Amino acid sequence: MASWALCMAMVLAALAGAVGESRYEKFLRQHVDHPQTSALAAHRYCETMLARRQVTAPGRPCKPSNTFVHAPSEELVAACTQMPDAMGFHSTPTPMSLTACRLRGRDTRPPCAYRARQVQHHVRVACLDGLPVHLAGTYAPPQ
Amino acid sequence: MAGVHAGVGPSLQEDIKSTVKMELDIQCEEMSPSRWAELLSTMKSCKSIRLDDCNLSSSNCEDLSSIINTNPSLTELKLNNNELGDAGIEYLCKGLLTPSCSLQKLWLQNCNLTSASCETLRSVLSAQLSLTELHVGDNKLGTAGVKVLCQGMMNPNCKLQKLQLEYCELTADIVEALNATLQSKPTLKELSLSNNTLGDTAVKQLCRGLVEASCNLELLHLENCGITSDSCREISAVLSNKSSLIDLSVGDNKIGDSGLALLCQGLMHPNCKIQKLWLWDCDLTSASCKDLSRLISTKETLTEISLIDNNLRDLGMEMLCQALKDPRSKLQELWIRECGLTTACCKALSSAVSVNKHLKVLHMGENKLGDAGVELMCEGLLHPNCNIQSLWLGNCDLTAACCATLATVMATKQCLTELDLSYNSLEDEGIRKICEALRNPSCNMQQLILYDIFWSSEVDDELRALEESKPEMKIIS
Repeated sequence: MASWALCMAMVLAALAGAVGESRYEKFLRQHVDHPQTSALAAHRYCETMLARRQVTAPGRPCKPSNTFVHAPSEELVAACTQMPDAMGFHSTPTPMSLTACRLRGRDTRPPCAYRARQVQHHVRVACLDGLPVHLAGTYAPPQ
Repeated sequence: MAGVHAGVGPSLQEDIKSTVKMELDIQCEEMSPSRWAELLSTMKSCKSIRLDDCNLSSSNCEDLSSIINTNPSLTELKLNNNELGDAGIEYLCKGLLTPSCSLQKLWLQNCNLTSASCETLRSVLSAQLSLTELHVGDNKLGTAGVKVLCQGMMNPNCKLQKLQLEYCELTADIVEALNATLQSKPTLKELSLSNNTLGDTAVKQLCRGLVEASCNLELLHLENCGITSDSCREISAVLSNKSSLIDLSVGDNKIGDSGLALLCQGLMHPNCKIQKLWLWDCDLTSASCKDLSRLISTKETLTEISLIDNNLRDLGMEMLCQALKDPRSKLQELWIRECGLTTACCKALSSAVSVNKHLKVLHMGENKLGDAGVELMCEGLLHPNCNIQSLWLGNCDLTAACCATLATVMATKQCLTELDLSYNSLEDEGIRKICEALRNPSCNMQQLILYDIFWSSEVDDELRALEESKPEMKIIS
């Protein structure tokens, strides 16, 4: 129920229109799922989450890939205080639990079918005004 | 579409405004009791109801059952992604079995049903003459459960046309029952068994059954069914025997180049009238491209082919480009995302699109085309012969450098209405060039897809303003 309430809050924010949702809120909506929502079946996680988070919707093409971070948003905000790299992106100091969703070979028209991969990766973000607004990529911890 | 809601539903006021709704379409909305009551009164007159992922349960099914009972105009009911459970289906089917019910399409994907639901569904299949579509994928029905469904389908009353059984935990044993059903069901047009571990032996048996059956199957989807090249001779036989088959998917099966060669025997047969062919992630390499080229250039019925996630590489692509230049080719949609292509094949591609007038949709994302590759492609795209409407270049290693040329294409080609540039580091400079093109009155862009690209707040404002000034255009990010 708690995750539904959060979802609703997000969706309400999202549908208040482009004016209502900040870029940070959009980042949370598209990329943060904490604690991880449990789906009925593992292979359905991506499809369910992307629909609930308004990433996939009737009339919208399927997003080819999307990453969900299963860590508190505070940790991603904290990443913004890290030294930026050459491209201006900031990395989380520790790896995080992620689900990487990749569109399966089918259509770009809904219903969108995805493959999910669970990884523990560092997350790279772009920040504006001290808040993450863009997920630039993820990478495995160096061995 | 009347009554379309994505996410949060409309207020009560909006409901009152459009009292006679023909369609109710809601997804991802948790229903409060008062909201549910509102919707129930709307549903009484709806022709089609879709409540997807609305946290419905078996108790909601009791209400839905009376709706079905008292609404003879209801033809479509979609309840995917709600934990209705076997108990919920029992309630639902009570309504479905009333004589006044003329439901045609029933979708119950991912509703937490088990084989226990199949008894109830069997009775519906045996009694409901109007039911033409049943989608029960993503439910653990199992072979035993679906065998029971098949019994229902055998009933002469059953006029089912479309059956979807993806991810139903089916095994090889199901094929015997399916074949018996196919023999008795000439009305069946579409069958999907994707994502069930059937294996070659079962798939071969199924194909033999399909060839013998009197039904004129139009669509067959067998994605991720554990098929190898071993099954391809039998699948080929279905293709050469059933002229009705226009849509075949064997994606996500390791058929390999040898399997494809065998498939092509059936595909090239004059009886085969294939229109849509999905061969994504089939372990194909450039070695398959000779056969694929022959298919693309000579099979005039072929309008859509997906080769996504096969390592075709530049050499293979160049062969396909030759085929695209053949005047006999009527291909409209080409999906070559993630095929190991680079800048090197872009000259051939450019040449192909400057000749080919039929191609409307081109998916090329996830290939390292680079700025140089896209610049070459744009030369071909600008040719008056080129009629491409939808172009997908996501994650192609593009930067701001190619945006000026892309902008020219956007502003010049009035046929281009959909463009995807996601996951490319276009940066503010590139996005600004794109915006300039969008402002051009001769730009006909309807959907500009820009997922996961970073831009500054200033550019964000610019994009927003642009969207507001061009209401027929959507920027998706």
